[in-house]
Amino acid sequence: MISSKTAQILKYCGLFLLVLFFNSFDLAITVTLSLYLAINSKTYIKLFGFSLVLFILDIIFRNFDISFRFISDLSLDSYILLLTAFFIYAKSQRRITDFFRQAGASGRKIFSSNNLVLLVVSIVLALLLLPILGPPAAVIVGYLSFSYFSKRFEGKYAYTAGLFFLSFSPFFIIFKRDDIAENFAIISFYFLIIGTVQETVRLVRERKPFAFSLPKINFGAKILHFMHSFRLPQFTRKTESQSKGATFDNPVTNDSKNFISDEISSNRLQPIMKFIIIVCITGLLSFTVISTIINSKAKNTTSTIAEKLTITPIIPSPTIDIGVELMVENGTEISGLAASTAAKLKNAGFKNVNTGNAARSDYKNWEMIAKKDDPVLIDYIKSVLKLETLTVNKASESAKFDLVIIAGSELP
Amino acid sequence: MKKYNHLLSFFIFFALAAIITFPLVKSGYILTLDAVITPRVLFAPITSSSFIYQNILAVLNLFIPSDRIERIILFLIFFLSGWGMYRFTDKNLRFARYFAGIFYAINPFVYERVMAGHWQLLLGYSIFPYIVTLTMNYFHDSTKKNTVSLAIMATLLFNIAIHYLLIFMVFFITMGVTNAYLHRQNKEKLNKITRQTIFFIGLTFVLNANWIISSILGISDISQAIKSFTSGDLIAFQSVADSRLGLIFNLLSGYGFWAEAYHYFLLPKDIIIFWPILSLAVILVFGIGLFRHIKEKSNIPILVTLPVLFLLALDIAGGVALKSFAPTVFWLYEKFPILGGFREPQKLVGIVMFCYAYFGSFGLGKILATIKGKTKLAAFSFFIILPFIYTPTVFGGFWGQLKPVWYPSSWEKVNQILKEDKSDFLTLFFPWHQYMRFKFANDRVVSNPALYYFDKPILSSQNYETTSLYSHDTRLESLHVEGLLSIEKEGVNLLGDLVEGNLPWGESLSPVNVKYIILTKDDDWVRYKFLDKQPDLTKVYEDENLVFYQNMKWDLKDKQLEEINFDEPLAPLE
Repeated sequence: MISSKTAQILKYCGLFLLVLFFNSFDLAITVTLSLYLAINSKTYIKLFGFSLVLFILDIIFRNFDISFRFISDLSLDSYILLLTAFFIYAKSQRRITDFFRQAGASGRKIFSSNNLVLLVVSIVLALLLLPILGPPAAVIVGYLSFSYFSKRFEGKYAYTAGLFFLSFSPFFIIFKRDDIAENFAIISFYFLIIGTVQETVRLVRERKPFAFSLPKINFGAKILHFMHSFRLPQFTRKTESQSKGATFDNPVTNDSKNFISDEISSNRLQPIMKFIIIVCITGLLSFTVISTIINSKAKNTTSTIAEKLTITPIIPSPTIDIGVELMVENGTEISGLAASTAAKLKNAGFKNVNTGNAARSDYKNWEMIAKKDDPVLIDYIKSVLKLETLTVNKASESAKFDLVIIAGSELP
Repeated sequence: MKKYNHLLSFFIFFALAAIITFPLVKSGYILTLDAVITPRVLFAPITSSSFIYQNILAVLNLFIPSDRIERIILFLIFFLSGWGMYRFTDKNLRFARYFAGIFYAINPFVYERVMAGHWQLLLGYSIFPYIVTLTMNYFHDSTKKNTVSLAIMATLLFNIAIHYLLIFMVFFITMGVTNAYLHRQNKEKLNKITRQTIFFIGLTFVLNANWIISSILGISDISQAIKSFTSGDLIAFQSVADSRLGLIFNLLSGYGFWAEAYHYFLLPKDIIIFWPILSLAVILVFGIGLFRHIKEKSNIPILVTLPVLFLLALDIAGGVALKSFAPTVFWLYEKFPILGGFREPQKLVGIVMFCYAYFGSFGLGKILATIKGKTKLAAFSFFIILPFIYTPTVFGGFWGQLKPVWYPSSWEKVNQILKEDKSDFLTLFFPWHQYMRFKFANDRVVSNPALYYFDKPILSSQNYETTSLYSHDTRLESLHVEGLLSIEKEGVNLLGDLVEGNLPWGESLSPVNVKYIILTKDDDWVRYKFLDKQPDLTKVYEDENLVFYQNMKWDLKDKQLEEINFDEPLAPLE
């Protein structure tokens, strides 16, 4: 019989080996550590700090082009740690846990039929706006419209949405969907900002009625309220000032008034400051992820069909140089492949198309050797030939043809 | 009072349409990019999606000359769109309704499409407010009478502009779902709507069965056209961006038509340099109207449906030009061939204009309600004048660009010669372009009208000649001509093989049954002067407009056919 402690150790080791097998050493450590802390720890401040340290290290390594064999992507590690910190933080906050418990238990307060319809409407709106505004702005507009229609302006909704998107971001990076991860990171960052703004606005708005409504309740309730709001010595000082005839409606001295409002402000500003710090860290991390993705894109020479039109000229034709001298070479044993490819290109408007055989006849992928790096032209050729992938190599300036296309056996 | 308002609005929009079309009232044909009107309006086959519309025109043409029919259509575009939108808007808005009508009739979208000759699309655009009204009535009170009216009008709309089939479908479904949700407690009403909807779909199918069935069988004009479309079409006819303000703002301003990149005609924004400010004013008044609608929660079905339609229209109009959306667009067009009808998606900007006009009237109504005195008058005047300043090019015969013209007399002379020849032959038309500048058409780029003008079959180019899409033409005869032109100009055939020596055009054209050649002296016609040197081509007629040749080797194909002994077995290939 294995003891529960041994089972736990085995569980963590299993996870470590699994991540190590599929990904890298650093990620394996991070994931295992994160899981351990998420279950057993209540300290989130240190984790936030640690993720920030990793993030700074990542920037330094990148800038000085330093790489380690056992570290694959520090930004991903810091992301996971940040997420874990958020999780532990959320666990420690009664308001947030209550919110989720409420949502899970009754299913009524948050997801009533009206709210559900509004949620669907907001999602549809976001989807419709997606092509025009791009993912981040579309999601934000969808959220804001939901807030407006449902009259729910509390920041907790934005935080929930932010965490939802943030939690998916690393997984998309693991599964090589950098584009989605990038958008999710940006969206989560915006949501955290919106949440902080909403919470700030809420706190500022609630400040006034709090101060004026307090005297209306009975003294016992007042004590309870104060005990929640202020520390005991301060409470004693306040009751003293009240006994001298001061009330919140009609304070006797300016000092006591200022003292109370300052205390309220400082107590309420604390979580805001925390959130602002968190938002800053998230923002910096989002920036790292985005820059990582952009860099990896720039290095990638083999583009996919999905990227094809990201650089398609908005004005259709004048940007494509069809006067280039093309050579289509058959790199396979399929007879007539070069001729049929040449015919397609001619039909697409290319005037100078030549045909021939490549030096080898065992090409699997289609290749292109181009004198100039003209992405528009290359993408246009890819769309004409319906090629999903096309490896592009640089030709020397003295090459006879502007472009040489070597047809491979992987037919489009 | 109600009758008086009705009559007043009728006369105002009648006068507006008359002012716009008056400079073109002179006899003659108005030739635009895609609209080529010839003396004869042909009857449409039963498989055509425009069967009813086209045949009504053909019957009218038996009594009225085609150039007059053309004027009536142009007049109706402006009159129906203005008056229709005016009537569609809320009666309580009073004068703000005129803004809706005028803006819907006069905006950059309408102007560009008139210049491009997409008049059928515009006629559909002009009757769309009536269809929307009927659909709203239908869901409000689902009686048999309303259902039949809607089915008939929808059929007319599809016949005039098939593009509106998809638009109407989206509109009807969104409206239906919203109404169903709103009346979810009222089972009786829901059942009634369901029954009538089934009846409506059935009736509409029967009324449109001619082209729907033939499209399913793949023998209609639509199915043939959609089959020929490729991803190249989407790239070639994608919406275009404004060089400074980008794609979305261009589309929101009623622009973005692919032809803008080719400078075929003058654009209003070329004249009005502060057009973005006017655009913003329209967008602002639209936003106020929409917000007012949301706040008051008035007419919820239309409040849900129109914004959905607006955003969808904007998404699809952006199409492949929206870089992040492009892969999805390709996927959608591949999986749903019906979308092929929108290979040139800027057509959907018409819906954007519709929403501007409708919500804009509410916005203006709100503005006028909040201000008083001279400011109110100034605001009202500004928004009424706005469409005129925003698109001034619709006036003065479309800024002097459109003029009625007659076909050159030589065209008719040649047509007479062709008609007198009773044999079965093709006439080749040069220059070999589908779109070119014709001198007689005020030197404007128009689609070659020869195919419809002459009474005998014409072999003319059907190439788009855009850099990203050269052609869809797969006719053997045209490929043959393309090959001969390639040999003549570049010394290589279509496969790139070198061909030496002079090309005998007469002999080479005989296999594709070309007996005559018409060379009009337009565009790059001088490049065809080699025809003069051909010994087997005889010049029959020449004037300042065209040269007419006869192929003396035309009957060679018969001799060649005679020489072939079909009873003899073919020799084995070596």
